[in-house]
Amino acid sequence: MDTVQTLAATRTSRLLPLVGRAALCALLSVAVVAAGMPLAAQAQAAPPASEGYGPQAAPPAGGAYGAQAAAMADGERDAAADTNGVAWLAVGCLVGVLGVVIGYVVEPTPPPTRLLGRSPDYVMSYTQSYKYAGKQAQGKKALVGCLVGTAVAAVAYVVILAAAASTTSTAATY
Amino acid sequence: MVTTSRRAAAAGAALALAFVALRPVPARGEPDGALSAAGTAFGARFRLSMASAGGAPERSEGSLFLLPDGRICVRVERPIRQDLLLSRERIVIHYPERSLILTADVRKGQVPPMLDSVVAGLGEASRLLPANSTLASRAVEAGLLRTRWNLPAVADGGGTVDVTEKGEGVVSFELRGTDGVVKRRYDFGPRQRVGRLRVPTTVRGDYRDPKGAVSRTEEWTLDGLTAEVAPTLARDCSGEGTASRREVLPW
Repeated sequence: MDTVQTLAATRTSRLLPLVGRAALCALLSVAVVAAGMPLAAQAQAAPPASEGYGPQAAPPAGGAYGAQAAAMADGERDAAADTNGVAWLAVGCLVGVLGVVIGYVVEPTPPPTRLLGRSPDYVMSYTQSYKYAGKQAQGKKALVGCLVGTAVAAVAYVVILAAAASTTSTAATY
Repeated sequence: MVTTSRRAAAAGAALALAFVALRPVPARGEPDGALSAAGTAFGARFRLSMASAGGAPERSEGSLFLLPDGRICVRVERPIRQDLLLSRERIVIHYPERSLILTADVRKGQVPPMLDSVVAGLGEASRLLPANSTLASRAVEAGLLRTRWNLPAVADGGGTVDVTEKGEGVVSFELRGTDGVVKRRYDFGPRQRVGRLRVPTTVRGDYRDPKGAVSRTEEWTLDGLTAEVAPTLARDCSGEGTASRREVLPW
């Protein structure tokens, strides 16, 4: 009986760090989402501010602002289409919090063909928007992967713990 | 103490693994000389039509050059004057009429800026595949060689590439993910011999979103092909010595 109890205790002690890591993953993931990514947010916010389109600024020239908005929309759409969701889910699931951080750090590069025949303003806005949206998409996919991995680890932990408890009580009965 | 160092080592290993997994895999024959051998330079007039997600097509035209050292120079004449010089290390966008250069260095691990669909039509198909790709099947049918390659998982999650070739070169190149959904497809039209290359005179590229729907298309038409490339073209294309303003492009 002592042997069975020792075995159960050993299993529990081995699983505790795993649970701790999973909980840390979930907490940090939530923190990342809540806090956002300041640098990327600045990158997104910077172009309109530099054009003086803030609330205190003079009304924007419609054409320039429209072209810039179109460039940013194009960049976001292309980045979303180009991001490999399956790969980033796998990274988040296997690497955990580090995978989420990597997703928000690794910078995708836009296809040069999209820059052909475009004005400098369009090129700058498109590139910034593509990179920002790409990192967001990567990070979010990795975050989902991380949470799925955490959930799977938690379920596995509960199942193993229940099995160990059942083994212990059965041994105690005998 | 030991536990802490083991944890740190494990975290480091996980980080390294993740970077390796996400690092763009260079094509098999892509080291600096893949397209840079003597006789592989060419120039052509191009017309490009691009469309995104069912939107109206946008057109541009000008000249396209593959330089002897493997760099690509694109001189756009319409809708605006613009020169692009693309290499494995740098992208330079030159606006001659504004005397402006936008430039960015390609960092280690980033995908080199390249005109994928055009380059895919120039080399041997197997040389475009990532390292460690394996041949899955090969069959000759109605004069066409159909080949399927399995890609390693480190290459953007893995998947397969279906290549159809005939005597003069590749006819189509289709990349699928592990779920079987097409991610991108290139179709190449009739070819014209220029130096040691057989350059496709039309190229169509379909880029798909994760669900397989076409997110954007490119249609290139190349004509006026020539093997003559001016030795000063790279300098002219990058605006070296002429542009007065230089800005860093976030890349």
